[in-house]
Amino acid sequence: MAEFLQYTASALTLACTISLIATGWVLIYQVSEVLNLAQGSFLVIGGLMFVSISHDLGVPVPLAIVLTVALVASWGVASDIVVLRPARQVTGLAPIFITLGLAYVLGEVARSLWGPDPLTAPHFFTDRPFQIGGVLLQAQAIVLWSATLCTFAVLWLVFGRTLIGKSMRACAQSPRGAILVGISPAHMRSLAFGIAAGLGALAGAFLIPLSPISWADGLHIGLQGLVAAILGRWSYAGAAAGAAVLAAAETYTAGYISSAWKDAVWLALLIVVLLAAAAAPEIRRRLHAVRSARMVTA
Amino acid sequence: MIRTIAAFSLVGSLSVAAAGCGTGSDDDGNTIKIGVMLSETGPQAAQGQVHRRGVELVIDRVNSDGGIDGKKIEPVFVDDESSPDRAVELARQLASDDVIAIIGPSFAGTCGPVQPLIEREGVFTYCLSGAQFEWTPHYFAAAPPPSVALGDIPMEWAAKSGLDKVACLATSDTSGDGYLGSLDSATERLGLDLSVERYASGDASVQTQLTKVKSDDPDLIFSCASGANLVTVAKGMIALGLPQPVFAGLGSVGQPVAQAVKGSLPEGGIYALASWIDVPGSMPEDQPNREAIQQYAADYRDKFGELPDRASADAADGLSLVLDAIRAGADTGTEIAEHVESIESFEGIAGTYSSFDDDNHRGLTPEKVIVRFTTTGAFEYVETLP
Repeated sequence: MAEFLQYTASALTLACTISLIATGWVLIYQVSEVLNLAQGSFLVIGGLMFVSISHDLGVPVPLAIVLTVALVASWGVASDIVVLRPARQVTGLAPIFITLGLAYVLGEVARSLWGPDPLTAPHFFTDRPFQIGGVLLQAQAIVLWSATLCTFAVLWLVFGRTLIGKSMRACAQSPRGAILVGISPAHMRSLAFGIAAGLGALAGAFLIPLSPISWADGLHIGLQGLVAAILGRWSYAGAAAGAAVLAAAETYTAGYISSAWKDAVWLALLIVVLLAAAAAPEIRRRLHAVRSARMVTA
Repeated sequence: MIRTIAAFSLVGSLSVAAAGCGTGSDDDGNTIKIGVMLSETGPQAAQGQVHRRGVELVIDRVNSDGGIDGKKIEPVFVDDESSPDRAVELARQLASDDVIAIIGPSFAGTCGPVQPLIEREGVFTYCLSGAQFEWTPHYFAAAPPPSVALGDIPMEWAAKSGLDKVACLATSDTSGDGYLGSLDSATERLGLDLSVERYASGDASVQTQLTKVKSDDPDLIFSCASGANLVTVAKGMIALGLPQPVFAGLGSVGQPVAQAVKGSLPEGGIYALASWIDVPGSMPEDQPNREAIQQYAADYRDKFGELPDRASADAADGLSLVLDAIRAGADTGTEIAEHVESIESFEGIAGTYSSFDDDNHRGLTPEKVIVRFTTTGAFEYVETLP
């Protein structure tokens, strides 16, 4: 049992990180229908920038987190304005390739600014674990879990209760309708990029004391966020649930079957979900036909 | 879009062509051009950039001494971006520009793909990876033999220290496979108990794997991985309160990793097989090449403001072997290869090269120097195995 709970604690930490990235994917996709492959890069830049601000400049951790999120969010806004907005007329696969290029550019920028070696940061509190019910936990992991919960609460309030949040949702549902009521989809899209980048930065700042981050890590974690978003059918709550499923699949597979299979399992899960989604309309049509036939017979 | 890509490709090709023009020996014969193909960007950049430093130091020294027969060494640095495709493209370019020797590539993923091409072109190549290769006439490599450096010596240290149960945390790549291949025979020979867990290189956490390892209660955790994966293992050890010592894989023994892990040393400490260049101050008085190693360490600190490590020394020694051949009159890739094969003993910075022959193109005989990682990001000498 203790082993299961230990695995669950590891899965929870992974799920929190992925869910923040996945939320960024969903946000940008809903507002602009762009698949932003640079989403993982914002986690990397956030983590590395946090080390510079808190460790190198000696800024207190809470302020360093705020500064990191604000700075990386501005990078996100700039990415949209400088790179994506000029290409807004381009359709098809081109925007995906543009964001892929953006991911590589951001990676190289990170390498130039912070060097090729992975960086890590001291834990916000002690790194020594403490035991609860046979499970060893670190304060940093609990901080990450709490921060993720708080972030989702804030996002729920912003999207549900504020004008700006409702404007973004309006753009997601009907850009043309949003324009008619005076909302600028272009501005909302830039804002979505800023918030998504800020979420990535937040994940990076909380993760880097637990795990070293290097400039080349962006695509891998970004891909996990994408898979969680797909598993969650591109909804916010779904993406968080998708992150939990993905993290649980990876962790329990590594723990109970073999660590060699952990990546294969969550990628296989993605394939199953995509196939199921593709087959769903046909299944629904056939079920409907069967029901109709029964009604006629009756 | 297509025009942009085409423009970038053209610029890239022109820069490679410009970099490669007139290699081998320049038009007036005043310089000797050596190809240096490293991974200076991309995922392997940490290694590639350190390799470059080793090459630069040798060139500085040789050129300040007047070169070879009055000819200065002129390196043709090219960056393969840690990409196998790019490495093959650049190797073809260097070969067509009559470069007779290439130092690099930096790692197994780029070394392997260029081998057939450079062999066909007859270019002496000194790959800087410690991975296992099939030797061909012009293809040589740095570092000690994997079976010895990854398996025999670490396990001899474990057996000597009474650490009979070893858990290997290996990456799911060729690097991890290399460790496992070497460890199997070593643990069997020494009667040690070996268990294995795997993870993907670059994974954010290995706590799940370590939770499984913990239930086996091993005496030693062996980080069977390269680079900063050691930091992830160390952080996982702390998170789970594991008291065992860790033995770091050879690919993690370098300054970048020592700096990255210094704040995350587990309770039992981290040990590793190293070279004297990692602990030059602890070198015995009678160590061959002692003065040159200490001079290299001092030059490295002066030029780069950091401590040296074996990765840079591997590149430095590769170039020194090539220059030794050129001094002896070698003028082609084949002649350089024949000269290096015939070397009976060459004192380098990473150690002594004494086992080159027709069947073995990896000549470094490892010093059995065991070190411990310190909280200052340096290495501390522990012992030398017999």
